[in-house]
Amino acid sequence: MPPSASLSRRHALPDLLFLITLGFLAGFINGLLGTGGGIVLVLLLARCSAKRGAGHIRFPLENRDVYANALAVMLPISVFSATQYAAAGALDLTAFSPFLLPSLAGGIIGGILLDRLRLSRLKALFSLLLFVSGVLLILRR
Amino acid sequence: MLGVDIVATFIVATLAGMGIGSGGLIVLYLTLVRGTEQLTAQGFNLLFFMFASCSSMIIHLLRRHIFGLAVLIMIVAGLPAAYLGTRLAVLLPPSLGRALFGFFLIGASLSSLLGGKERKRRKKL
Repeated sequence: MPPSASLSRRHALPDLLFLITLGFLAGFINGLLGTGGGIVLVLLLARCSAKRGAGHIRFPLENRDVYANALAVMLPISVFSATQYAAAGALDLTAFSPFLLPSLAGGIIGGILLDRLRLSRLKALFSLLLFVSGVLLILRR
Repeated sequence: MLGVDIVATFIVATLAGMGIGSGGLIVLYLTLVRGTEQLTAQGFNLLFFMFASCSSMIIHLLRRHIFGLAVLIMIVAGLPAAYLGTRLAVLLPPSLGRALFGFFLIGASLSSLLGGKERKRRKKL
């Protein structure tokens, strides 16, 4: 049996529990806050993919692949959350209609740009912006 | 104002397509700039994310390595949790929802900033 196969069997249960916990956490946060599940997935999956040297690697994903996998998880979960928000009367499809095309076009361009830009600086700026915004939200009454 | 909204949506959708993050910004824009109620802004963001990620997903499926089984397990685990989260969101007072969202943003941004520094340190070693 190749070493990689025995390793994956030995780690099958912990990996399964890890994935279930990760999915549950992302789904709960996304349902509660309407966003954020993807951030949790990206942060945790990136950490599990980064420990190559220590032999703790679970998913051999490049950083850019981590984003794509997180999106693949969050898309159906977001669709489900949206149906729940709609049932609660918190979804205004008419108000959203002007934003449909910019959302689609921006998504496609972002998917293409992912291969062509150095993201580290942009990501740091984005994190700083989130930090300041989080403080503003808490202070706002 | 609609023009500004559309440009803002396009820019944030581009960030979402790159996987940098998105929802936080749309909810922030709606609540802080437009004065939209927290729960309505969260619902708007879910719609936005569905369309932005749906279109970028087509590109990612062609170019990236998607761990199909792992993704499927996380989706199955995430759906009931999303239901619980949504029920709780509807029950919470708006100010508490906003504060929770604020704390989440601070935690996520710190984790992202500090995680980036840690990865750089490990690379140097």
